[in-house]
Parts: sequence; C-alpha cells; structure tokens
Amino acid sequence: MDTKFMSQRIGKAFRKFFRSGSGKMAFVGAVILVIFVISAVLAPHISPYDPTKRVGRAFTPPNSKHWFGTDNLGRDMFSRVLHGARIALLIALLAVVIASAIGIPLGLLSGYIGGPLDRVLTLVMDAIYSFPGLILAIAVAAVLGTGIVNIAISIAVVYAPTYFRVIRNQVASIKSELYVEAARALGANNWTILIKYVLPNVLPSVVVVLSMNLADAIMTEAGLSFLGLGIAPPTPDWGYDLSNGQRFILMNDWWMIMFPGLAIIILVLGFSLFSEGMNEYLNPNVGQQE
Amino acid sequence: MNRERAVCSLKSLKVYYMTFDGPVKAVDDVSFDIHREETLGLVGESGCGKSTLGSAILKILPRTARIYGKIFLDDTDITALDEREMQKIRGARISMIFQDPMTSLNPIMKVKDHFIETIRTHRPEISEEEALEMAARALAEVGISESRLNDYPFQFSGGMRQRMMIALAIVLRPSLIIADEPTTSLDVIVQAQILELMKEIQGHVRSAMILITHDLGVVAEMTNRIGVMYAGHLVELAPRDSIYYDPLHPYTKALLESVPNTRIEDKELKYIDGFPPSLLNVGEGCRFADRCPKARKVCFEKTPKDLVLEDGRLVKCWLYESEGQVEE
Repeated sequence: MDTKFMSQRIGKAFRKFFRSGSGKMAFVGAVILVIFVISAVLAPHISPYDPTKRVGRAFTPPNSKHWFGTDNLGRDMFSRVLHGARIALLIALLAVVIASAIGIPLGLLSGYIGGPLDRVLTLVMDAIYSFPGLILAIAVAAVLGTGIVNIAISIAVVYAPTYFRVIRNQVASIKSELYVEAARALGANNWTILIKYVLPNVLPSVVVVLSMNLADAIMTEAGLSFLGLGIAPPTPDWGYDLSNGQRFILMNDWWMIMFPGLAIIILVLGFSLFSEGMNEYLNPNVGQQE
Repeated sequence: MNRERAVCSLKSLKVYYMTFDGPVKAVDDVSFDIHREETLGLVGESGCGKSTLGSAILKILPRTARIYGKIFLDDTDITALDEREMQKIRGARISMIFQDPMTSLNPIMKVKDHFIETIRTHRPEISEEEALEMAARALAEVGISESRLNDYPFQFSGGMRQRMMIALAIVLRPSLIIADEPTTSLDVIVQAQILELMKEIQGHVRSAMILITHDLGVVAEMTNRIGVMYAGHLVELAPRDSIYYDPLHPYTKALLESVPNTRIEDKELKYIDGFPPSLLNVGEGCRFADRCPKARKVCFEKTPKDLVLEDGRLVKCWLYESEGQVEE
C-alpha cells in the first residue's frame, strides 16, 4: 500500500526489531493506545489539578507535588498532558471519521463506475494529495479558523485522498474478480454488488489506513496548534504547550517541552506499531516484500 | 425442429468489441435454437467466441461490447431489455456456472448468505427461513450436507465449490443454464463427478443447458447436440453422433483428428497448420479458408451461408452448397 503516512515509515522501521509476523508489534502498539485512551477518558478524575488554573509557582521543575513540573503560568504540566490526550484523540478521531466519510464513498464510486467520473475524481484527489500535508492543513485551517471541528476538517482534507486512492485501486481490482461477475450472473444489481461484495472485501485495508491516519492526524494537529492555528488557549493541548515551552528553553526549563513532546511521540509510535502490526496480520505478504 | 418449444433461440447474433482500431467480431452471425431438457455443447479453440456467446445471452459483457441480432428467451427478445429487466432474468430464468470455482464465490460471505441473497433478490416475498430451506434442498441435490450452510467458501475444496455454484445456479429452477467450462480447473476424477451431477440435475430441473468447453471428451459425454465454433462463426451444428462419426465441415474434421489417441502408439499428434485469423476488422470470406485443405477461390471471397441439410444439420461451408438450403 502506497501512502504518504509518516507513521507507516515509523512502523516499518520497527518491523525488524519485533521479528516480523510475531504479532508483538501490534500488541505493544495496542497496549500504548489503551493506556492513552484510558488516561484521556479518565483525565478529569485522575489528574491532580485543574489544567487551566494556576496551582503553584511558575517554572517549578518536576517534583513530588508536580510530577511534570509547572509552566510559566504555574499550571500543572502533568494535568495538562493528561487532558491534552483528550483533545489530541478527539480531534484525530473526528478528522479520521470525516476523511473516511469523504474518501471511502468517493473511492467506491470512482473505482466501480470508472469512466469520466473516475478520471475527474482521481485528478482532484491527486491534486490534493500532491500538497505537503501540513502546508495544506495550515491553509485550510487559516481559512476556517480555530476550534475542534474546524481543525478536524482541515486535517481531514489532507487525508481524504489517501482513503480515496486505497479504496479506488482495490475496488478496481475486486470489480474484475470472478465472484463479482458471478453475482451479476445471478441477478445482483450494482448497489448490492457494491455494498455486499466489493465494500467488505476492501475493508481490511481501510482498517490499516485508519490507524495510520490517526497517528498522522495527531502529529498534524500538534503542528497546527504549535503554529497557533489549533485550539484556543487555555485549553490544554500538546502542540500549544510545546510552542509555549520552547520560548523558555534558554532558561533550561526542559520539562515544559519534554513531557508534551514525549506524549506525542509515544502516542504516534503506538498507532504506528499497531497499524503496521495489523497490516502484517491482514496482508501476510507485506513482511516478505523487503 | 419446432420453434414453439425452443427455450432460447439466437437469431443471427453478433457480438462486436469496439476498439480504437475497429470492431473485433468475436461472435458473428450465429443462430441456433435450444430446447427444454436439451444440452447443447459449444466447442472451439480459445478465442473462438464461445465464452463471449455465453456471456452475451446473459448480457454481462464488458461495456465495449455491442450486441446485434436477437436473443429470444421463450417469447421475449432479451436484447431489447434494459439492465433492470435483465437483472430479473439473470439467476432466475437463465443462470451461469463459471470456469473457476475457487474465485467465483465471495470469500467473505457464508454459503447460506449466497443463497439467501440470490433467492431474495428475485423473490423478495420468500422469508429468510424459507430461503434457507430452499438452500438446504438445493445443496442436498448436489450432495452437500445442509450443516455446511454456515461455512465460508474457503472451507470447501474446488469440487465442492463447483457443486455449490451449481446449487446456486439451479436453486430458482432456471429454464436455461449456461456452463462456461465448468470442469476445466478441476482434476479428472472430480471432473467426472461434476459432469455426472450436472447431467442428473439437469434431468430433474428439466432445463436447457449450453455447455461451453474446449474438451471434446466432455461434450461427447454430456451433450445431445454439438455446435462447433471457429473464429466467431458457428461452422457446424449437428447431433452429437453425427459430429463424431460423420463430421462435415473441414474444421470439425481437423479438430477431431487432432484429439490425442491413447490407443494407437507411435502416432504423431496431428494439428491444424496455421493460426485462427485476427477477429479485428475481419472481412468477407470463410474464416477457416487459410488453413483449409479444400479451400477454393470462393472460400476466400464470400462468407458461406448457414446451410441446413436434409437431416436438419447446419454447416457453414461452400463444399455443401448444392446439398443444403440456405437458412432464412
């Protein structure tokens, strides 16, 4: 599968380390994801402080009271990182839902119907695909403005073509399978063939794209809020905290950027391992290709 | 033969594939009738248009194909029907068995869902339970236990899958079954079983069958009449025994002579010199003329007519011009 996901490259790099096909890769990824999801869901209950309020002295290094230290406004970094997972996962999920809601149906139609419709849609999608992801997201976000839904939409625009391409190409090959022709010979109409014969057979690749897409959506979201195009402060957000913290890096206040940064890295790694592991599991040939 | 009883009749059917270089005349001017309980074998080498002919009757050809002439199913001309009306016919009145059973079933649909889907597409008034009962009966007919309704296609062997395809094809009791090389991808023993089964099933479903194959052994065993196709033309159509013991068309003769014979040792395999012509922009003249030992001047210049001989056989060859009558 040819995608431009950063997470795919990360996942592949780890494949040798985990011995291909052992299933450990997907397992480790899944454990990381479960931990993040749980902390995101339970954040209001387990975080020690309100992430938006001054709860101690500014610039406190990590200690027993503030595990990850405090930022320039005296807010507890540990609480902010926990709550940041909520925003990151929420936006990533929303972006993926929107991207797949655009990409999957268009890919199905384009691959199945073919002809001029296919040519036009492929052209449009390839045009979008050819933009560097973050740049396009910045442009869309700049037009739409901040806010959870707007950010999700700007990320979705970047990734919808990936769904489209993967689905379209799969549909084009499944369409010529004998079982599709046989279904037609037994009187099935186009709608039935599309929904019952074609769609279920392309879904496995959607699962892989989906989890890779989640990882990249998190990175893109962090990038947007780092640049001030994301969620309005004081809502806790990893990207915003990173850009906020890097202003004080010369004061050696490393904790303000290290913890949100680590959170992004580990979560993206979790998604990458999980998706690459799933990819290997669902398409057993992948491991032997290199 | 009397026309009223024909289940399906083709009237100068032509199927052309439109390409940028011109039409590829895959099936050209083919006419025949097929009757209830009859099995018509269509034989010919690869690319002679026999599979195209089968798909044309169901109208499941690629978009580049154009159908001319008429195809009557009972009394309706199905070439005039639109896609919606064709969907009602496919699977219910005409059904098809494909060459490769390994890939002709949806890998992620259970056996029972294949049946429910097919039955309820055509007869929405049938409940799921009734459909399941019909499926169980159809499976029993092909010798598969109903306990396997909940299995997926990959849990079956090639022969079993072909049985399933047959069960699917007959579950709605179609009046015409088109079998496109149904045993080509199976081993010899399974092949014999499947052929035996198809014969038996056809006997009690009382449908007509068109059996498309390149295997002369298969048609000898299965059919009542045999049509020989060459380069898009139906060159000879006759009862089975006449084809085998008294072939008329030079191509039929050559074809039969090229069947390997295991009883005579040290005999070199015979083959027909040359290649079939390209069907792209093919013009007038007999298409076999280039390879025909008895070709005359007229063979290259004019396409022979379909000649009907006294005993009802059809042959498309100038050699028999004086003996037969031109079919109207």
